[in-house]
Amino acid sequence: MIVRIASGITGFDSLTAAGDDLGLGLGGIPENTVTLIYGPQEVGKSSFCYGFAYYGLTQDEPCLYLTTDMGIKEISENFKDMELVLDEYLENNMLYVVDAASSDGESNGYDWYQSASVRNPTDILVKVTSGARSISQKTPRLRGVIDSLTTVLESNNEMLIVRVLKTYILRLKEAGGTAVITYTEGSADPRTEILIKSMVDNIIKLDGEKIIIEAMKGMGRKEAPYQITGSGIVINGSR
Amino acid sequence: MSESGIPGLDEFLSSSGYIEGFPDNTTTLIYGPPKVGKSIFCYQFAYHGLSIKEPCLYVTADDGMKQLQQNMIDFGWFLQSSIGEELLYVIDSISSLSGVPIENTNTYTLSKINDPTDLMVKVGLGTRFVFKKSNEFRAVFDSLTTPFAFNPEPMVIRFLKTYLRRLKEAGATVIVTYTEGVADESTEKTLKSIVDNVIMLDGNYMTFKSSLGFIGTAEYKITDQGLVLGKGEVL
Amino acid sequence: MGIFGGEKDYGTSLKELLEQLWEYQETEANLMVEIATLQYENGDIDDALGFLEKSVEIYHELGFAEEEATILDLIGDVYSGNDDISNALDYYNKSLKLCLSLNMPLKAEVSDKINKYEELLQITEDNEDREKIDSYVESDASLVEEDSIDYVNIGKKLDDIIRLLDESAVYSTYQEFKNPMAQLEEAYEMAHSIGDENGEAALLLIMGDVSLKDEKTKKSLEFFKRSLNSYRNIGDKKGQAISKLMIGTAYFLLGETEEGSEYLRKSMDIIKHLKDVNIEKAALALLKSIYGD
Repeated sequence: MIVRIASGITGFDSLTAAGDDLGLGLGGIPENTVTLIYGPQEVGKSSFCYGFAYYGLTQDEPCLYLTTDMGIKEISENFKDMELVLDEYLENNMLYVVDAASSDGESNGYDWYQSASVRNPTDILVKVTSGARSISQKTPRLRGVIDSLTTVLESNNEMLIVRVLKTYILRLKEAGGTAVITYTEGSADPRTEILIKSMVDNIIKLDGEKIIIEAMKGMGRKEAPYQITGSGIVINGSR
Repeated sequence: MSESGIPGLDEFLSSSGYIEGFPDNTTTLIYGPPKVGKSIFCYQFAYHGLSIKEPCLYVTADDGMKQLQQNMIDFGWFLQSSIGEELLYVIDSISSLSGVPIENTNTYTLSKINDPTDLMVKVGLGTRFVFKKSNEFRAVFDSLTTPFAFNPEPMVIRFLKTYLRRLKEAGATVIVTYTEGVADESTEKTLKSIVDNVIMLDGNYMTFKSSLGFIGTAEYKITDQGLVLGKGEVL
Repeated sequence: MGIFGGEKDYGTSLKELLEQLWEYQETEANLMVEIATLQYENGDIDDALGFLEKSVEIYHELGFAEEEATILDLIGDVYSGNDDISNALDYYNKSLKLCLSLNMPLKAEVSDKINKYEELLQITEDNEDREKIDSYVESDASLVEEDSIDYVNIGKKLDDIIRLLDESAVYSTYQEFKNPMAQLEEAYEMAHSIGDENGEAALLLIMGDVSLKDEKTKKSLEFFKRSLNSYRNIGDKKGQAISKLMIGTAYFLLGETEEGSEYLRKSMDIIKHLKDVNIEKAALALLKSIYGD
């Protein structure tokens, strides 16, 4: 039996529920796995991350958030636009941010906010893994987000980042985490893309119109249309 | 003849009359795109052997031991008793990256993914251990993908050549997995040339090519009991 | 020796024959070592090396890693005895790798030999460069006396220089943690396991900096030298210049002023070629604190 956790994305859990299972097959993202969300730019990959992270926070599940494109300020703004409030989670040490997008000195005084640089993969890894470690010492479950992998790949030797990713995945799973990682299709060498796809457990594609679950533990391929609304991603009805 | 443990596969291979079931004491490369069931093949192959008391030397390079056990439990395959009977010898070359201090045991050793020399030493120790139990055993290497990410390609090939030679000599039936597209073309060509058999999985079809000339394709599915073969055709 | 009917007998016979084969191969390798020893004593170095290498191959094939490690070390000795340091180091390193995997007691001995010969190699290299270097510092540099060493001031100047390492400068912020050395070592392990050579080199430099400020000068020297090696492997001139500055400083603080001046001179030479104003300034500031105003 594959245990799943609620994704926080409207319609996702019903899309992934096992229909034939006496109604016991809850949908969602398989626990303690790593899911790749990929597709062209501007299709809602970051929105998926927001939904995933936020839902966890509301369920007292801390979130380790590595951001490489948008700094914490921009992310907070985006959340506000969706009428989701981040502040209390930042203040209560539930949201642990490693910010590789803002320039130095944008720390806003939260305990769990670390600045990093995309050009320094070891430093990012050190900060992320120490975050995972401190969270796991207090709670058995955590969610992880990397948004996005593309930016880190662009600033470094791709193979090095593949190794960083492997290490992240191992450490996150060791800490009991479930993670979502975004990647812009075609932004890296085809070989690198294949490596990334083979290291994650689940692969989901967003193409702007359809969400396609290409691979997921315990499930076959599934797809459905979706929209990006003011309150996040909404996946439409029947399978 | 080895029993592969994949329902339908041994019969399919025998149906041609060329070979008798899954070929014993040979080396087989299992390759294909990500997420087509290559690792599941390994779990099934190893587990079936253990269930008929055939020892197994398992080198895990993508997942650590804990994850491997968890993955197998998802299919209802439990390793505890085999571990207790010392039929399963695991060389874990990836857990050192996860930062957790783990102890070696009689039948569990750690190695480092970026140190093929150390890995070869551990393989040697493991081979001798398993050989003492039986000179008919299974050897699994899952997979070459992570080693290729952590080492230069020629180093991985050099390691693999020695690995295959040693294990075949010791009597093992060897399977090695590889994700297509991870190494460059010429390395892939070399990979396919240094093994006896090649199994290609593409998500729908399994194609088996043996060095003795047998080629066959069959449908397959990933079920919650592992891989299952369907209709097949011998070419 | 016929093949008997019945599978079980076949299996057992095969096993026995294989074991016999391996025994013979092992004996072959042992004999080769004995032959090599005889030839070496007779001055036939090349022949001796030939047989030793052949024996290594056999031990490798058989998977006898302990024997392999021992013979690799022996080959290293033959080369070093013949003044071929770089080949010797090559074999010692190969031997050490295996020793470490098997946790052999031999590892300490081989490790010492590697350190000794690496130093030797470094000195020969330095002697070769000596002629090309401008004398940046006056020939009679004032001797730095133990009690007049201002570690704090020098430490500050070193920090300034490390800050110039671009992205790697962030690692010096690890010094602000509770247990800085532990943090840095963990980060170094991380960098090493993912193969981040830039990270490795920078972290070694900073660990040296921390050690030096802690007045563990000998230890800092080890770190700085390892860092220099790493920067050499990457081909990073700036990193090499900075690590040589550090090495020079450490030697000075240990009272080895000649050695120290050498490194500082070589470093300044690289720095001039880099045409980097910031580094030149910082280096000069460092030299001032060392040599006194």
